[in-house]
Order: sequence, then C-alpha cells, then structure tokens
Amino acid sequence: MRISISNLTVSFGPTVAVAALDLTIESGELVALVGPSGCGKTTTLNFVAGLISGSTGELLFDDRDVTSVSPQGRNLGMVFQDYAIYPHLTVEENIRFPLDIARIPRATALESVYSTAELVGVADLLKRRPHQLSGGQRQRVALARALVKRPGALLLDEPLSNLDAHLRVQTRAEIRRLQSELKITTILVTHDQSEALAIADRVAVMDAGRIAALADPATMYARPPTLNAAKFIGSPQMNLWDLAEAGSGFARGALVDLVGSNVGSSPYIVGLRPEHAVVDAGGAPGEIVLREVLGRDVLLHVRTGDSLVRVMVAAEAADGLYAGQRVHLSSSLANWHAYDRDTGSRIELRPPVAGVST
Amino acid sequence: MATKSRATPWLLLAPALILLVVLVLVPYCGALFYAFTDATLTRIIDVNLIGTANFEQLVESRLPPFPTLITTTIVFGVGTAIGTLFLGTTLAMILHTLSSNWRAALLAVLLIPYVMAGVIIGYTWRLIYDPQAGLINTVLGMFGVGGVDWLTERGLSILSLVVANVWAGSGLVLLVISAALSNMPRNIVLAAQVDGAGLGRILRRIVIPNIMPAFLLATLIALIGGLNVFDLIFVMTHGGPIYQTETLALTMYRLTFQQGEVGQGASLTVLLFIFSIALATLYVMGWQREARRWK
Amino acid sequence: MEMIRLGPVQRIARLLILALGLAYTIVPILWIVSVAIRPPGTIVFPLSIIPTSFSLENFRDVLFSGGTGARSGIGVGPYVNAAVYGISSGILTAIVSAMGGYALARYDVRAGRVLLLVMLGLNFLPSAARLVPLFLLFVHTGLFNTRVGVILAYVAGAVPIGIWLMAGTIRQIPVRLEQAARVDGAGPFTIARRIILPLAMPGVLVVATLAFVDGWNAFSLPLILTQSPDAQPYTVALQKYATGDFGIVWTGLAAGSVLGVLPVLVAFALMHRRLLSSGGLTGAVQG
Repeated sequence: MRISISNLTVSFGPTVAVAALDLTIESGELVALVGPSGCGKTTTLNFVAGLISGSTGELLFDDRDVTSVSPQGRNLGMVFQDYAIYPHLTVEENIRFPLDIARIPRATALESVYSTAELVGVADLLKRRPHQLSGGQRQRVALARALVKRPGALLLDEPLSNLDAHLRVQTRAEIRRLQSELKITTILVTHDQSEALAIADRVAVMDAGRIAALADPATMYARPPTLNAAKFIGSPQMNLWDLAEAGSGFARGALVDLVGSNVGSSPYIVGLRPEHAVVDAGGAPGEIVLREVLGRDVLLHVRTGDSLVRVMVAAEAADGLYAGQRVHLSSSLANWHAYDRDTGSRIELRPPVAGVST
Repeated sequence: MATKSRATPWLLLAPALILLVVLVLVPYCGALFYAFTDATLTRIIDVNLIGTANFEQLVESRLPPFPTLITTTIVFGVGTAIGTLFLGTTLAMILHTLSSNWRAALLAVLLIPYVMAGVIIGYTWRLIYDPQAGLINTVLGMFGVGGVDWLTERGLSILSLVVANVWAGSGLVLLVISAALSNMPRNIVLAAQVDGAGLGRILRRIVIPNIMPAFLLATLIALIGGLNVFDLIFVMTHGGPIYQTETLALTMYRLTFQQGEVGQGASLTVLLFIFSIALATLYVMGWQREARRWK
Repeated sequence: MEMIRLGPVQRIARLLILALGLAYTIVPILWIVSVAIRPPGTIVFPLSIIPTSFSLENFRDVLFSGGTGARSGIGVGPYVNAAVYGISSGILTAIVSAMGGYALARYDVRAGRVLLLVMLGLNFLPSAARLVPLFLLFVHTGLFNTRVGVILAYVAGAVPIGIWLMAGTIRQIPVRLEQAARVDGAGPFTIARRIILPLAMPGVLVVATLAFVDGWNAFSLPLILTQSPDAQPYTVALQKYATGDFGIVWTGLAAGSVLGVLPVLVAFALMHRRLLSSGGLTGAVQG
C-alpha cells in the first residue's frame, strides 16, 4: 500500500510542528524519519495513524483519501515507544485483540496469533502477562499485535529507544527481516541516525517541521543533500567549518585550489568526515590533543593551525598516536562536502579550470 | 483527540451535572429563598416574604438562647476536631513505625467506628453512659463510687458527646494522615537519624512539615464534620435537656420538622452553610500560604 | 517511618498509647455486643460486666415485627430497605462517577479543571445543610416518601467524591493504551468496556463501596424524606423503636445495632482483598 502525504501542516496552538510536508512512501518500502526532538517526525506519524489531524493536509492510502477516516478504519499497525500493551490481558489476548475487534472467529484468530507469535519470537510466552515480561519481550508482543491483522502499513514510533544497546541492534535487524518478508509498507520514526541508515530503504531527515533531506542511506551518508543532513547523519559527526570564520585554517588550506585566497566572501560551509582525514607524512602539521578509543576505531582530536580536526583511525593503525604526538594531516579533495551558508543546500565542488582564480 | 467530538465530555458529565444541579444547587437556592419567608409545614406554597425576620427571631430566641446555641456548636465542633486530630495523628504516626502486617491489622480495627452508622454509634455510647445499665457506672459501682448522670447536665453531656464523636471520627483523620505518611519520602528520616536527630526532632522538623497539607485537610474535614453532626446527638440527647446540647443542625431540625417553622429552619440552613464556606475559605487561604512557604 | 529506632522509654510509651487507643476503640464495641447476646430482660441494675448467660433471642426479637408488646422488634423490612437503598446508590454512583470522572480526566477543558475543584468543594458541604432544602424540593416535586427519591438523594451526595476519585484513577491509565486500541480498530464503547473499565475497576469498587456504606448508614436523609414505615431503613426504624412506648429495650436495640454493623464490616473485608489484587498497570508501558 502506498502512502502519500501532501501539504501537511500541524500546529499546536501557536507552535507549528509540521509545515507543508510532502512525502510518498512506496508500497513495501521502509522509510525512516529521523531528526532531533521536536522536528515533527512523531507528529507526522500520528497524522498517518489518524491520532491527530492537521490544519491542512491530505493523506492517501493507494488512491483512497483517508484524511478524515478514524484510526479504527485505517487498517494500520502501530508500535509505540512505550509499547502500550494491555496490562490486564495475557500476551495471547493482547495479540488477539485487533482480531477480536474485527469479529474474526476464535479458531481462525488463534491461528493467526500463533503464526505471528512465531514470526516475532514470542510463541512460548502466550500465557504470560505483561508485567512478567522483559522490555524486549514486551516490544515484540507490541510488534506481533501490530502485525497480526496483516495491516496495510506498519508505523513504528521510536520502537527501540527503550532497549539496551545490544538488543537494539539485534531487534532492528529482526524488524527489517520481518518487514521485507511481509513486504509491508513501513514508516520508522527514530532519533538514532545509525538505526535509520541500517535498515531503511530511504531516509528522510527532518528539521523544524520540514523534510530537510530525502535519500537512500548510502547517498545520505556519502553525499548528504543538505547541511542539516550532513550534521545529523554519521557518527562521529562530520567536521564542519565556516570558511569565513576563524578556525577554518585547515579547510582553507585543503581547498585553496578551489576556493582561492578570497575566502572572505565565500558562502561555503565545508565538511570532512573524520574517517576521511588522513594521518600522513605530508600535509598540515598539528598535534594530537585527545585520543578516544572507540573499539574498532580510534578518534583523534588534532589541533592544526587554528583548527580542531577530528580524525578517525583504525585501531590497528593507531599505535604511537597519543596525546601530545605531532602528526601531519591531509585529505583528498573528493571527500570534501560544501554547503551554502544561507540555504544549506549542497554545492558540488569542482576543481577550477586552469588559470581562473576565484 | 481530534477525531472525538467536542460534545463527548459534556455528554459524559451530563448525568452527574443534572443530578447535582437538581438535587444540590436548586434546593440550596430554594432554602435561601425560604429563609426570607414565613413558610410553615402546612403552608409551603402560599408564602410571604418577610425580610430578615427569621434571622432576627433566631438571634433573639430564648429556647435556646442564641449565644448558647453558637457556643454549643463551636465547642462541640472544635472539641471534636481537637480530639480526632490528636488521636488520629498520634495513632497514624505510631502505626507507621510498625511493620506493615501489624499496621494493616491494627488499621482495620481502628477503622471500625468510622464505618458504623451515626445512630448506632449514638446508641452504643448511650449504653455506655446510661445511669443504670451503662458500662461506666457499672464499673464505678464495682469500686463503690456512685453513678454519674453523664448525659443530663450541660457541661458534662457536651463532654460525653464529644468523647463519643471523637470515637466516631478519629478513623477518618487516621486514614488521611496515614496516607500522607505513606507518601513521605522515606530517606529523609533515615538521613536525619544518621545526622544524629532524636525522635522529637525528627517529628518536629521532618515529619510534621511533610504531612502539614494533609493535616490541614484533616482539620477542615474534622471542623466541618463537627459542625454538622446530627445523627449522633439526635439519638443520644436529642438536643436536650431543654435544648442545652443543641447545635445548629439540631435546632434546624427541630424548628423545621417538629415545630413546622420552615422559614426559620431555612435561615439556620443558610447560617450553617455560611459557617462551612467560611471554614473552607480559611482552609484555602491557609493552604495557599503553606504552599507558598514550600515553593 | 518504619526505620526510626526507638529507645526503650519510647517503646513503652508507644505501647501504652497504642493500647489505650485500641481499648478506647474496642471496648464500646465489645460492650454493645455483650448486651446484644444477653438474654432479654436481664439489663437491670446492677449489671455484671461479663454476661453470665448468653442468648441469641434478641436478634430474633428485633427481626420480628409482628405483634405488640415489649418484645416486638422492627422486622427484616428496614434492613432490606437499607440494603436496597445502599446497593442502588452504590451502583448508580459508580456509573455516574465513572462517566464524569473519565470526562474530567481525559478532556482538558478549562471548565473541567474548575469542575473538579467544585466537586471537591461540594464534598465538604455539610449533609445537615442539605436536609431542609431537599425536603422542600421533594415535597414540591412529589418525590417525598418515594424510594427513588431517597436513592437519588444518596447518589447526589456521593457523586462529588465519586467523580473526584474516579478522575484520579483514570488519570493513571496511560492515554497511550487508548490510542493503541484505536489503531487496533476499537471504537469508543469497546475501549471503555475492554480497556478502561478493567483497569479502573479498583477505583470503581472503592466508589461503589463508599456510596453503599454511606447509603446503608444514612439516617437524617431518610428520616425527613420518608414517612411510611415500610420505606424506612433500619436506622430510622431503630430510632423509632428506641423512642417507643415501652422505653428503651436495650437488648433489642443492641441486637438491632449489631445487625446494622455486620454488613458494612463484610463489605469492607471483601473490598480490602480486591483493592490489593489491583494487579493494575505494571507492564502497560515501558517499565
């Protein structure tokens, strides 16, 4: 089922939570809405679910206008951040609930319950009650309840936020597996960009009620379409410098051929991911200020000239690189990103034609 | 909840609101009206407005004299409040130093008077105070002391009534204070003990300030309750002898239903109402001052 | 406060106060029970504290309403009346309070918050001040001396505290559960029946029990709102019995009183267990 949102605006009193948002999620696709708190991603999801309505906006499921249809009639499955499973019912009754509402005969309903429970991995917990379950188990019950009626679409509102780190990684893979097996259109809301990149077909970065960037995970990471996306996607965060401000000496040095010496009027904010800064024999001289061990990698904070550069190095290659050590940093031109300071839109950096100075 | 209609809450509230308007608001307005009329039990429809005559008659009455009436009411109300607050609070604090098993069992026993009907409590205590068959005089008799008439002389009977009413009302104070104690953060008591504070200091500086809101509420409930006691006094002394133990509520009943003076009874209702509102207002003001102190 | 260490003197003081308080509470109850179980006619001066002979005749006497003479009681009728009034009031109050409480808990109408305070305030309004007004109203509207009238009067008295308690209970049920149920396809009535009601049940039971107890124990209201003996509850009947022509028959009165207290104790015993088994809301939302 394809979901189309057009021109959605939602305000709570004077605050505008979502502004003129358009988004289409194709059938069977998993789209992730990411962004910081307050960017409007949960509000958008609640609109799709029918739990709130917008001051303007249309919602289409395939070609059906469901804007004024109540949540009960939209045939959706939703998993909330706090699971919201019914505490006074057993796991089986919880999963069966949507089917009971739809007056499905008990025998048929039970079959669906069992098969969905198997799919999700809670088949042996059917007789338990929520207070006897762990967080991860409760979450799966919520997932089963959402999926049991084979809804047209699945809505996930920060489903992994309350799980431990390991469980989070494990569970998100399972969600993806289920989703692609069932080919169910899914909207995932999360503040964790790595989660979005890991399992989504497309990622929408939201900011202040708008979609700032929309792209597939690989593109979103390798060539962030906007400054917002560049800031938000990728951990550790991309190094960013405003060429007109102090502290951007390293960037100016690296991009001197493109930007020229007339930096005062450059409208650029440029960025380099930590893994693209190279500790090299040539390059700008600097001194390591801080060394963070991240496990597989080591993150070095290097002061060079007036700039502070974060450099990601593989752990094996980090021997001898300690605070106080002098090193040289270089980078490849192709790895730099540039954005317009005012609009935030991406600018493709091209080497200048020989002889022309900017 | 965008998809729920705006009318829903009012529909849900309708039965309650209708009930309260019809059976509380309207009657009170009616009483207010009747307080200024000369209505009697035999003549309720054809009434004349007589201004404040009812109130004047009240103040000038001899049986009982108005000051006596007010004094009785206040003494009774305040006496009950003091007694129940003292007993209820002390017992609540003691109960909370016990394990929860003991606490639950004792609480259940201590709450029995609270669930008994006022008239039954009245008869129970009459049985205790009875000059011939009463418990107290029987016990006194065993020691050779003569029997005392507990419910006939004014001062003594008011005291006896208060003792009975305190018995009836301590349970509620116990409940309210007990709930407040349960909600008190436990660690501050522990911290105070580590700091070397003894029982007295802990009570004064930590426990009491923490339960003060609940205590004020209990005071309000006790006072208003005390003012409005009816059942107990009705069956124990019926306001006697010679109206000496009548409170506002008792007089109101007598005037309206035994003497048929509906107008006068209504004026007493208004008086009773004003007293209660005044107390409630004092409470709200005191509560706000407390709340400000803790901000 | 359980962790307060008490010195030996303090422990003794505590024991003393507790013992006195308990004695103060229990002795009157024991006394009236002891009077109720003595053979009729043995309440004469001087009296022995511990009864020398026991008898259950008083209970039979008080429940026997036929005939004249000193031994005739009030019959079973008044107790049945009180039960009818109390139970009806309990049920009606629970329903009206649940509806109103839900409205005030869920809908953030400005008027709603005011109403909640009004409810709290109304609860403090003295019952005695309602006597004359209600009497006048009932006479004017023909509700005087009707069972329905009495029940409605009880309910009107119990609803303020009922709504206040129900609003508090329902506030504790996460709105999220209702949202989840809506997405699951449930309409408002289904949500009320299968989600709200089970989870609010402890509160509903408390309200119903409180209303029942107040109704069962009521005296002043039925005293002025009813006239015929067959509409009167045991409280009024006992009072008439005690002011009857033969003076107070203490044994009968005591027995009648004990009978009036038992059902309430039973109701509390039952409710106590239910209140504790309010398994409730653990596990509903992220723990």
